[in-house]
Amino acid sequence: MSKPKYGLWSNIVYILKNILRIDSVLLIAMIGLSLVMVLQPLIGIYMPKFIIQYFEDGRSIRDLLILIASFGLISLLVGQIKSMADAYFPRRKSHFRSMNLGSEMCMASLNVDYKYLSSEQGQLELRKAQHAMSRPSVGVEDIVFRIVECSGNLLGAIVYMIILSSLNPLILIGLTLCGFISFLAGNRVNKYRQKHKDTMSKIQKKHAYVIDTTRDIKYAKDIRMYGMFQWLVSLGQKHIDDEIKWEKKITSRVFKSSLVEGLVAFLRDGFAYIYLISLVLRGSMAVSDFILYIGSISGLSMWVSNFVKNAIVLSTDSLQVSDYRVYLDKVDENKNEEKPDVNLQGPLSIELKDISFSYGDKVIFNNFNLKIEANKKIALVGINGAGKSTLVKLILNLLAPDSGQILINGIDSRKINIGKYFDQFSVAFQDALVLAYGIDVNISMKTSQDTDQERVDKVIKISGLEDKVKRLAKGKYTSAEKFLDSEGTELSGGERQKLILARALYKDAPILILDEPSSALDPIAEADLYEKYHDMTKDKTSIYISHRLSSTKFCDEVLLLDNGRIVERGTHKDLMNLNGQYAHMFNIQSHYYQEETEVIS
Amino acid sequence: MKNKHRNKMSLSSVMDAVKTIYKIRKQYVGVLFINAILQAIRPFLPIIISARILDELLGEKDQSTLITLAVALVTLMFMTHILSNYFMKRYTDESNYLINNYEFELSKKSMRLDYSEIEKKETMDLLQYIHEGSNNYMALWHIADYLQLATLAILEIIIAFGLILTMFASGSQGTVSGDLSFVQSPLLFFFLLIVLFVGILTSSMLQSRLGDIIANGAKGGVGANRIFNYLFFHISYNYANGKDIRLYSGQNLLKEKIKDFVEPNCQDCLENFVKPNMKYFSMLNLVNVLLLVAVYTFIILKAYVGAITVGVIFIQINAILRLYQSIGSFAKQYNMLKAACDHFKSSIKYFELPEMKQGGSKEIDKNGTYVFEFKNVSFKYPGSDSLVLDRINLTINHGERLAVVGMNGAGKTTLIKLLCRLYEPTDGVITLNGVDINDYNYQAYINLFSVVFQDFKLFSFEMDQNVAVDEKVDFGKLEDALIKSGLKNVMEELDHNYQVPLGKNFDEKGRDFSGGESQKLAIARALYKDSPIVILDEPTAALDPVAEFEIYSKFNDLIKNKGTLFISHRLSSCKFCHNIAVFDRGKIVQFGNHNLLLGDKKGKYHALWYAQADHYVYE
Repeated sequence: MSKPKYGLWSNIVYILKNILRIDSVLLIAMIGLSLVMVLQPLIGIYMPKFIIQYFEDGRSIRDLLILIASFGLISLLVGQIKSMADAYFPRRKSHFRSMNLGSEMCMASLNVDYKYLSSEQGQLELRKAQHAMSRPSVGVEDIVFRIVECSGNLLGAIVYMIILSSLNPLILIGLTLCGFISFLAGNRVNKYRQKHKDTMSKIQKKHAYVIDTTRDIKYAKDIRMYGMFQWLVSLGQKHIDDEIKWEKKITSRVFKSSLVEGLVAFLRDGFAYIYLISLVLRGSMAVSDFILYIGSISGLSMWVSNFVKNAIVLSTDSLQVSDYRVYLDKVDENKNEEKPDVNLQGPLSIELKDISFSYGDKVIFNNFNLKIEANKKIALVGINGAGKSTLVKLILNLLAPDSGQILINGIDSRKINIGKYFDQFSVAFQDALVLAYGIDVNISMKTSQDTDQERVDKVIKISGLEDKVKRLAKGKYTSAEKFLDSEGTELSGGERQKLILARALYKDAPILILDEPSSALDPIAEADLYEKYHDMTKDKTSIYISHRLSSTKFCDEVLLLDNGRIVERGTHKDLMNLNGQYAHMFNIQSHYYQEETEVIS
Repeated sequence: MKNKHRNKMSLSSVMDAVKTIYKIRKQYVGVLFINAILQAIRPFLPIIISARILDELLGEKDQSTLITLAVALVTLMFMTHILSNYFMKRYTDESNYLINNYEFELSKKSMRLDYSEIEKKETMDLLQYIHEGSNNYMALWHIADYLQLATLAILEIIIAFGLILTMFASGSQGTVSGDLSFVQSPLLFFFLLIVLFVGILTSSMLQSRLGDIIANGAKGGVGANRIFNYLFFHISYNYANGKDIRLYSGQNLLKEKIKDFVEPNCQDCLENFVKPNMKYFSMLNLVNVLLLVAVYTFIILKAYVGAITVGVIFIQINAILRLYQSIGSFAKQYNMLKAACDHFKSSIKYFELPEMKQGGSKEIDKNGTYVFEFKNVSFKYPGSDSLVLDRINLTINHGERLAVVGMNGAGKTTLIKLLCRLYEPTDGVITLNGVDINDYNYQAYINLFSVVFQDFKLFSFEMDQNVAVDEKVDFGKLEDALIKSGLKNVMEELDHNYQVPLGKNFDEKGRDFSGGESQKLAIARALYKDSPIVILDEPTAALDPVAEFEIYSKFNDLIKNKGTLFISHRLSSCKFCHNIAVFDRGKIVQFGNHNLLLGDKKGKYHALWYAQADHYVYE
């Protein structure tokens, strides 16, 4: 394991600072809880001590009653602190993580450089940060709890040591040792768990996968039509049995370690009783002190072993907090790179110069060059895996080339502020995001109030979504998904594509990029799109990606991409005359539609 | 909406839960109660012996008695420690068994559900609600925990109460004179009993209020969880969605949405959870301390007049502390149990949902001829008013290749779902060889079809099992299916070793399959099944023109003389088929072969065909 970027103390300070910033009351609750953690057991051992002492000393009934009243008062006070802190701490601690820091992490994820986020490193770091934030029992939230536990137990250990210090100092050492031994026994289980963590998480993952997929509506048809029940049950049972077997291995070890713990307590308490009894018998100790010390002896071992236990967990949590911070730092790095304003006006040209790019070992582009003139309508074609989507992402600055540069109107894309750069593009991705909010919100990507509703109406008409919207009770304000709103609608594949197109049209940026915008449209809707395409792209530079080569005819130029290279370029007619790869593909597709071809049977 | 009214726990839902636990794991119930008894007795044994030691130290101070008592004490503690830890281990093991198998039972039920149920939103919401129960501490195994802890609390209350009563009763025979003689009067004893009783009652009432707050919090959490998951996991952390948000500057929109969610949620938590909790915690604390002081005073007075020994004081203090803790714990467990049992009703409801209809017992001749007929079939989805299919009449002859075409939403996919008995017609009947398809044995009927749905799914398990849908794989058949579906290059790449998982979900050694390859794999799965009828719903949607051509040119080889039902937007594929049914708004508007339909210049088919073909005309 590599060294974490931030150390233990740095992380504790970081968390405390954030608590102070977001919810200072939580910090007070933490202090209250650590104090109460020590005060309550202290009352528990001092109360019987004083009562017995008063009896031994033959105090008056009045003194006894005052004693009880003062204990009552102290208990009330301590109990009150505990009540307040107990009501506040757990829930607010969870909110501090999931809601407060959580929304900060969300905004960070939405603003961080996409190139970083989509990279393997970014994904790994996001996953780690997500893990640190995932549950109350790990990372960011758990460290808050452990800070309280550690400080409480440490304070307890110190106080009890002071109480016991009047006894033989050897006893202090012995007791601390006892605490460590029982901790070590318990820690063996942790080590075992740590050692087999990967195996176990793999089993759990498989198990969870079976549980999830078998309940998933998307799998239901195939499961029924292929009679997968037996297969899935047998695979699932195997994973479950595996998991139970592993859990049993752990519980056996927990039991064994509890035996050691019991034995240590047996010896410790046995020794303590005999030693203290002999002191009382010799007359060098009062019975009231006997009560106090017996309580403190088992108490001190507990404080020590709990402190170490919690400190170990705290240091694990700290590693995760470090992961979280590393991820959040990336946003700040991004922010610092404010760039000078550049002038981007009118139709834009796009140029890729000596671009090289690879996914891992797989080279996609090698010294790739391409210039798209301003105002040109480009059709980008090629078989699956030719690099079309990658090319688009490179142009959009969503992927960083390994080398080379991308120029917009002759300006290096890296010199343009990323927000401003994105403003130049309207893009309809194949896997575009449809939000579970109103159709109008989906089109403008702004809140309903901030949306230019007239423009929304216009693009709904152009994109062919009007029929659908008319049929909805709440019209364009209907939620585009049912997920958060049961009165929402469900869009078919074709309607979804129309919505994405409408979004691109609403933005009306100088460069329009459509990636397979008609794959789910029926033939008539597709033809309708082709007809309107000319108007849509007026005064714009545009790139149209499609498997359907029929779409190339209304473009100025066709680019055929194969293996990361532009192998053919020209108008549809040019390429057909060239009789190369493009003509071959076109003929394959079109020959079905030629009247003269024979019906294959 | 806030659910303010407080419902009582119904005993029957507790019994339902216990029965379910018993059904999954008999031993669990026994271990649960043994564990509760052990945990209850454990703290009292050392208290009683310690008291004896104290009395001895203050009285006789006999060394050997003291040593014997001390040794007895630590030995007893050691033994109970081992015993209770052993049963704790057993309990944890049984819990794990229960958790895993119960979740699996839910999954099995999901796979057996009638398909029309699974597509209902209520069913999915119910399942989601059950699922969220395990996050809100309301799952079945939590019920078991609460039962155990409640039993433990009751036992502790009984023991502690017994100890306190013996004290009240003890020493009453002692004769005390002077001002403090009232301590021994039965009236005071009676008065104290009442105080104790009132105190316990008040504190249970407060606890029960607290339970309501917790239960209400859990109820309100269901919708919130959904929004949280959506905004955080589905949108923000999913980088694939991040493209659009950045390109369309959606950050501000989402910032608003997150703020709109987080702020009221935090406010709500403070107002409806933290503040009432503070109030009740404080009141509980006050009641408890007052009672404690009252009982202490009484004990001290008794000891002062010599009615009880110091050792007994020691026992009493501990017994009273235990009593309070147990009462608090019982009230808490009772409340959680109530909430969880209430929640468990939804599980019972889920398990009672209708399963796939097995239909009649009529068997099907494996090598026979199959003629399907749709007679006046109409269909609307449950809860919807609009007809998706409207009086369909259609005959599919043995070995016939039928193409179904039409615009989006014309009812093509629904037709397949009806044929596959995933849904039943709202009206009309579908027959196979003249007999209602529902009269055939379900499994035998399903075996007639190999279907590749538009939204087919593969699993992250090994490739060979994905094709065979079984742990046992016929290697020859597998290779045959892979070759036919055009995966020859993958076969060579894998060197004919097909035990490779799909994707890297489980294993770094897994292989990522592209969209096209996955579609071919789904076709291979259909071929491996080797059913007499093949149904393909948009089988080439994810393929590029070259790969599409590959599949089409092998079409004959793929399906041989099997009957085929074929849905596609690319009308070019219709040329392979004997007949074409053109769907429009739930009706069949045209039927016949390609040339016949194209001849009708006013027909829908003509319009659809030329909408595509026009763009392919070579100029």
